[in-house]
Amino acid sequence: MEEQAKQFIEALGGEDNIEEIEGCITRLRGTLVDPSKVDQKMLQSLRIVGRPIIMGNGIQVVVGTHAELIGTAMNKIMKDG
Amino acid sequence: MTQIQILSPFSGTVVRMEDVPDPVFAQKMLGDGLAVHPDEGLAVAPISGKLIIFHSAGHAFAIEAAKGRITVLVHIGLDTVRMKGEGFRCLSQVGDRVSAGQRLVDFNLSAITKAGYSVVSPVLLPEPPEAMRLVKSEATHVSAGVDLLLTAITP
Repeated sequence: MEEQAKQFIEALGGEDNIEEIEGCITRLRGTLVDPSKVDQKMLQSLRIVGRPIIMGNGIQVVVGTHAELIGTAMNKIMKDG
Repeated sequence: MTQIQILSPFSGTVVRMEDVPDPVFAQKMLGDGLAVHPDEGLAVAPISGKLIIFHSAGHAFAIEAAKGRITVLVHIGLDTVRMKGEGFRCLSQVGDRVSAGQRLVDFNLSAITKAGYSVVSPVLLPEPPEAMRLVKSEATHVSAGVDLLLTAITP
């Protein structure tokens, strides 16, 4: 899970690009500094469902039913630096 | 052939998945099913099985059926993860074996509305087994734990 969380952080443009992120039951949702920094190819390679939904600086990525675990792992990594 | 009857987790008005005001659910990106516009703040288990997911905010859970290799996901309201558990009281936890009709979440309907979120609650089957057929109820109003919402037929 930690490895996957690291990859999602990278795909979303790195830690500095992620203002906040949380895992809902099936999707990651958050706010980005610059949504154009999202690596779409890398996101697709992480087996997300469909395309990420980007509205303004907000993003939602459907990852499947382990979303909360990934979100928690991402926040832990970002907090621990 | 296995037929699994999925009861409505809520009492309320049935809403087609296509009409859920959230593109991820409406486009069935996660799976197909039906939604309910609840008229009271109670969610019960739609099937007997094991509670495999219970979000820490209390607004969503998933049950793996004891047989038939299906999982039913219930999401209370839309965007309600942002309420961070406020207004949701979970009566069970991950790993519990639950029976169809068992009370799982008490929630405050007016708190969801007041927070500005929709109360429309999708009930769906994520990652269904291949060749599964889903029969949807044609009822307009259903009672929690009593009325059939969906029937999953697996070969």
